[in-house]
Order: sequence, then structure tokens, then C-alpha cells
Amino acid sequence: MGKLKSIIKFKKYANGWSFALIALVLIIGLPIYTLFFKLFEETTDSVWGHLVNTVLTDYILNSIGLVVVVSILTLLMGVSSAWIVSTSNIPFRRHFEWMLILPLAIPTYIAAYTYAGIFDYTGPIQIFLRDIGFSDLVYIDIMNFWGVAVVMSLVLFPYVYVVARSSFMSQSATLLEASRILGSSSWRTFFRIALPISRPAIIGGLSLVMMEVLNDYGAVKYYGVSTFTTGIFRAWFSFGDPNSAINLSGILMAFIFMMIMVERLQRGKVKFDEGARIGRQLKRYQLKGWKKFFAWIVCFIPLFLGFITPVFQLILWSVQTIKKIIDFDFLILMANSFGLALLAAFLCVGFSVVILFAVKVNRNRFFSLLAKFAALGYSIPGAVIAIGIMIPLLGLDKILIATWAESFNMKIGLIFSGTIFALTFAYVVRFLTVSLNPIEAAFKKTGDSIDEASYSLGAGSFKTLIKVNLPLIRSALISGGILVFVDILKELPLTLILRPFNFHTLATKAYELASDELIAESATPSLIIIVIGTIPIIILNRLMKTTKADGSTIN
Amino acid sequence: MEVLSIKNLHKRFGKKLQYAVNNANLSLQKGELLALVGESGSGKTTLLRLVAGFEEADAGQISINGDKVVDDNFSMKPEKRKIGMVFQDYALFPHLTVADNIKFGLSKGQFPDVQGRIREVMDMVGLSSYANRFPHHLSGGQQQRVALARALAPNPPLILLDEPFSNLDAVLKDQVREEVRNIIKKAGATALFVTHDMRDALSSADRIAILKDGKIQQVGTPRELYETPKNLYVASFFGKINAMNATAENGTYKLKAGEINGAKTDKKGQVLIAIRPENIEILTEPQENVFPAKVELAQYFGDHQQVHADIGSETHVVIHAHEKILFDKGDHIYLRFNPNKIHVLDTCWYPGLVS
Repeated sequence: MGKLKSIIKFKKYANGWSFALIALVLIIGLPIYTLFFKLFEETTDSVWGHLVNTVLTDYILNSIGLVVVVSILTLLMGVSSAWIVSTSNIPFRRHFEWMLILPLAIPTYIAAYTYAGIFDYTGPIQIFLRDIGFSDLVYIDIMNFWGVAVVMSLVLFPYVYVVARSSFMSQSATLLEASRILGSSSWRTFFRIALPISRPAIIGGLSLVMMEVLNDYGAVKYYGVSTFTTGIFRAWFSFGDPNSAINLSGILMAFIFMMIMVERLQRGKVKFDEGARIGRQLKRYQLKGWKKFFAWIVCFIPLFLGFITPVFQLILWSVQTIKKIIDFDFLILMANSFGLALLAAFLCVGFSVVILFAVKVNRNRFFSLLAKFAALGYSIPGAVIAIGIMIPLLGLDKILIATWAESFNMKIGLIFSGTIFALTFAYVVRFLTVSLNPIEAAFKKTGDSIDEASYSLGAGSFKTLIKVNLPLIRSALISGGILVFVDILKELPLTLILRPFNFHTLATKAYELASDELIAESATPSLIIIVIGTIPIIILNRLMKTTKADGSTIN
Repeated sequence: MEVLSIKNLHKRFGKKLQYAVNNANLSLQKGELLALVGESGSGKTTLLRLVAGFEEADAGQISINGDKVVDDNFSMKPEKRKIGMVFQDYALFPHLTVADNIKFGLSKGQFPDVQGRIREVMDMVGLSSYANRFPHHLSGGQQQRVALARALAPNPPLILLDEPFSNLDAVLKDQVREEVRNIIKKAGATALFVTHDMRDALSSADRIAILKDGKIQQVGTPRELYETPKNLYVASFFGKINAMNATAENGTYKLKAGEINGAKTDKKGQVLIAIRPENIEILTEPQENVFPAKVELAQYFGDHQQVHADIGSETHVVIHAHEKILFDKGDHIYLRFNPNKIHVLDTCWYPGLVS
């Protein structure tokens, strides 16, 4: 009987969906397996020993240092502006609300070389300083650790801002009122009530900042700061030593794993569930005089430095150089970027639907765990994913070439590695999370009873998905796709490692031009990336507005 | 001693024509519990929030313990007013324990022994053993008591309660009303609370203020409001009342259907009179000073019968009869209006409220 039961149980889950889910997850996990197996492979490697003795300490200190400094700066900028925008009456508050997210549209590497150009010897700041009579000796050098930390913070703080703001907004207005009526000043209310309640959310946003810092290659490389990512590149390209690259990736991953654990722990068991909320709008602090001005400045500076300044500078450069830049090659570049991003976005959305629906059909803990595993990609730096995919694919190609040569006496080129295939594969691994999240939320919202209704009317699971679920979650599919599309357009480190020879995207071209001291020429591709990057921000803003409309009904 | 004084208070939201609070005047004496009763949109919550300082008045004054907190062009910040407040959703700080919630408003300057004060207040609300619990571990009634304790802890001259019972289920409500009143009385606090439920007000408050369309219609003890309502709106808040147009002269009210003699009134001319259903007596035989009537509907409620009767001239009345006789539709009866229980209302008229 027991045997029969387990056969029935097995049969229950043996369907196309569960096989598809397992297959997808197995494939997506490839870079992780590589890392895992390669790390424990015994090597006698002199390069690694050399790295350990010379630069490893630098990598560790710089990476940790950047994470710490950028965290502090983004917290200061993101939380303070979020608090002011959510609770006070500064002029243009409604505009600040969404404009403070805009810096997110600028990838760190673009911000980095734009600021490098602004502070360059021939840049506007130095020219201005000379014009007002300072000698050439006064030179503000930002090409160092502190410079890159500040520049990264300027475009990464919106991660903190967005979560802090939505957390402040969702807090029951009466909590803040209760604090005030008990005699607390606005400062005490902020530090004792609003901040502690929002802490889990804010740290969640901060962990995204940390991931971005650790993922960054372009900015740190440009400013000459050696981190794990630059180390991986160096080991791969300069030393041609995959083992060192793997080892560095392993340390980096251990570091990230620790970060994730700390983030999980800080959330803790205590859920600050406030029960029934009254959706009354918060009575804003009516600031006056210099306090109002100061609050306004706190919101304006991050926006001014994080978005207005670099975009303005890029526009100037673009106007100067656009004639030189726009040619047939540039159109091919655009087609490459857009086509690749579109392809990967479609795959991500499709895979997300299959994975999530498979979990829905087979309600089972094992399957939801597998789905979670598929979502790991976003926490793995692009360089690590690239290495983790490149090594096995290279191996596979070698075998294929050898067998082909043996059996058909023919020479063939690389099939998987160094092709669009590898690049697309890596994009899907890294950005699947981005489409999984909104689609999962949409599936949750539609609920299971609607599926059951469909089954009870005689529809199979495939028909239920196509006819019932997909139309209902259409907007999530689109926004998930757009988010992936934009992320891929911005992506740099992974693309640099995996792109086929002489193949360029907007991101790699912009970066290459800037690296060749052609910063002004890089402005046009950079601007295209930024303009497209604002699309999800507009979507996000619309989402935020609709939730606000839901929450403010009762007086 | 006057703890709260509200004078000529006005508040309008945005550019709306209607006042949310229209010329409100109110006075609370020390130790008093006053309930603000009204339908939603009557302005009761706005009035409370004006006192708390979460809204700013357009005109008028508010004083607490003799100190002006709102005056022309001046509005003291809520955190300076030293008022206690119990919020409708309790607004307990979810990340602080019960004891820390209570501690939040206590200053060392006011209470050298902060821990002692916390224990004292927790004893008062009967939650001594819950000091280290978090709010979400408590039941609704317990959360309510913590909110009350937190508001009372700094010993404020005045505490405000915003719909304090609306989040509780019916069974709990009766018990909690009693408890809240006892705790506030024991603490010697003066309290102003807002509710839409007359039963909350009757069971907890010393005096009741009834609001409608931003105006305080009447303030008084429950008995005053019941027996001498100023207008039909106030009267109808306590259940059924019969209102009729009449002409008054020399202690007589002339109705279309007949006359009521022997009233002690010096009113003259057109008046709106009102009489409660239990102040009309049903007789089976004709007597002097009675109205012949026909039963239209009789409902049996155990302790009384509710009889709807037609006294002619298109006048219908409701009677609560306590007689043993059961009436039925079509019965011929005689009604005697108790002349001393007839009350003259302001002609401030709310159409559709005559029952």
C-alpha cells in the first residue's frame, strides 16, 4: 500500500509543468555549479598565490570600504529626502516625489566617467576655477576611492529612497500623531517611531545598493580602485587564469551570502503588523523660513547632483559630438542592444511564467523552493555569472570541436562560448529575478480559486494558463519585461566578458569610448541608455500613485 | 475648574462652502466625561482633531486649563499641548513593548520614578503582567487599555478618545465601555470622546454634545437631551418621537385633529411640538381630552407594544403601550397625550425626520 501511495504521490507531480520547472532551474543554476565544483578542485596555481600575496587585501578592503561608505551616504541621502518628501510641505514636493527616483536611470559607470569629465583638467569646474583666478595647482582630484564612493552613492541612493518613502507612507498616520501628542518633536518622532518601524524595509533597499556596488565594474575600474570585480577581470583577461577568477568569485559570493543572511536576520521574527489601518492622510509638518529652505535643499541636492548635473553635461557633450557618432555602425550598435535586450526580456518573462505556474499547479514546498533558487541570479555579480558560464561552455566547445574534427575531419568554430547564445543565457540567469517578482505578485493577487473555477469548467492547465491567467496578469508581464529590458541595456560587466569578438552594445561602446578618453563621444549612447532607463521609473511612479489612491479613502 | 474651553471655533477644508466645524462652543469641567455624538461627516472628528492640534482652525479660540492653545493666528503644536489621546486604531507603536509604549510620553522631569509610574498606570488598566509583550500579542480590548494607559501616563489635564469602541465586537463593547469609564474616573481625568453610537455615549459619558453639519445642536446630560431636546434632530437621536405642527394658546395646543389641554406653557402661535411614544396613553373607552384613533399596525416587543395609529386629519402617531391588552389592526382606540410631557422644539427643521 505504501508503495502505491508513493507512486500516486509521484504521479500527481509528474506533469509537463514540473518537468519544465526542474529543467529550467537545473540550467539556470549552471554558474553556481561551476563555482562550486571549481572551488573544490585541487590546483597548483602560482597566479593565485601571487594574487593572495599582493593584491587580495586591497580587493577585500576596497570592496568592503566601498560597501560601507556608499551604504552610509545612500542612507543619509535616501532616508532624509524620503522623510521630508513624505511628511513636510516643501515647495514642489509632488515633483520631488518621483524625480528623486530618476538618478536610478544612470548606471554607475556612466555617472563615473561623466563626473570624471566634469572634474577633468579641461572640464567645466577646472576652467571655472582658473577663470576666477585660481592657479593650475588647485586641482580637485576625484579619481580615487572617495570619488567613486560619492559618485556611486549619488545614483544609487534612490534604492533606499523608494523603500523608505513607501514605508513612511504606509505607516499609519496615527502612529506619528500618537507620538506627537505624547510630546515628541519631529526629530524624536523620526528617530524613535518612523525609523525603527521602517528599518526592515530600508535595510532591504540598502542591500540592493550593496549588491550594485559589488556588481559594479565600470566605475571602479575607471577611477582606478581595485575591487573583487576588477580582480576577476584581471585574472580572466590579463592573466588568463580562470582558477583565480573562480577563487575571487568564491570569496565575493561568500561575502554576499553573509550580507543576505544578515539582512534576513535583521528582519527578525517580529512583524510590525499594525492591524487595521486608517487611511487618513498624514498631517504634514508645516515648515517655515530657513527650516523649509533647508528641507528643500536636502531634497534638491541629491536630485541636482545625481541626475540634473550629469544629464545636463551629457547633453552638452552629445550636442558637440553627435554628428561624429551617429553613423551606420551606430545603428548596428542600437540594433544589437535592443535586439539582445528584447530577446532576453522575452525569455525571462516566458521562463518566469512557466516557473511560477508550475509552482501553482503543483502546490508543493519543494517546487516553491526551486522557484526561489531560480531567483538567485540577481544577487550574483555579473562578472561571477559570466565566469561561471564561460568556463563550462568553453569546455563544452572544446569537446565538440575535438569530436567533430575526429569524426568528420572538419574544423568548426565556437558554438556556445563567445557567441550571442552565451550572452543571452547569462542575461537570463542574472535578470530572471527582475521579471519573476512582479509576475509572482500578480499571480498571488489573482489567487488560486480562479484556477479551480477554470478546472471545474473542464479546462486543462495549459488552457487555464493561456485563457485565464495570462490575460489577468498582462500588465505584470509587460512591466516585468520592460524592467528586464532596461536592466540589460545598462548591463556592463557581464557583457564585457561574454560578448562575441568585436560585438558592441550601447553600454560597452559608451564604456569603451570613455576609457579611450573620448568621454564627450560617449555621451550619445549614454543618454540613450538613460532615457530608456527612465521608463521603468515612470511605471514605478504610476504604481506608487495607485497604491496611494487605494490607501486614502476614509476621513 | 474649566479644563477645556472652545469658543466660536470655525474650520473649513479647502475651498468648500460648508464648514466642517461651524461656530462650536463647548466647555468641560474637571473630571467630566463628554461625548461628541454625530453621524459621519458631522464634524465631530474634526472638532477633536482641532483640539488635539492636528488640524488648524480658521477662527475661534481653544483653551486648555486656562492656557490658550488656539487663538487668532496662533496654533500651538500638538506636541506642546500636553493632551492625551486614544486613537481609533489605537496607534500603539508596534516595535515597542507595552511598557515602552507607556514610557514614551513620560519625562524624567515630570516623573522622577518613571518605572514606578509605568507600573502604576499598568495596574490601573489591569495589565501589569503584560509589560514585556508587544502590541500584536494582545487582544483588541487589551490594546485599547494599553492605548488608554499610554495616554493617561503623563497625567494630562485632558484626554481625547477618537471612536474608542468602534474596533471592538459587540460582546466586548459593553464590558469595555464600563472599564474605560471607570479607568478615566479613577484617574481623575477629564475626557472628550467622539462616537457615532449613542449607546457608547449614554453608557460612558456624563454629558453629551450632539453634532450635525458642523454645528453643535445641543449639549446636556442624557436626561436633558431625552426629555427636553432642542430640535427634532436631537430628539430623534434617542429613538422614536412624534412631532406635530400646532398652535399654542393659553396652555392649549391646537392640532388639526383636535386639542390638547392643560399644558404648562406660555408659548403662543405656531409651534412644533413633540411627544415620546411612551407618553401617549391608550384607552379603550372615550373620556375627556382624548383623540379617537384607529390602529394601523401593532408590533409586539415583549416589554411593550409599538402601536401606529391614525388620529385623523392625516396625522399619524406612534405609541409604546405597556398594557396587557393586545391591539390589532383596525381596532378603535382613544389616545391621551400627557400634556406635561409635550415639548416644544426649535423650528430648526430637518425634513424627513418626523416619525
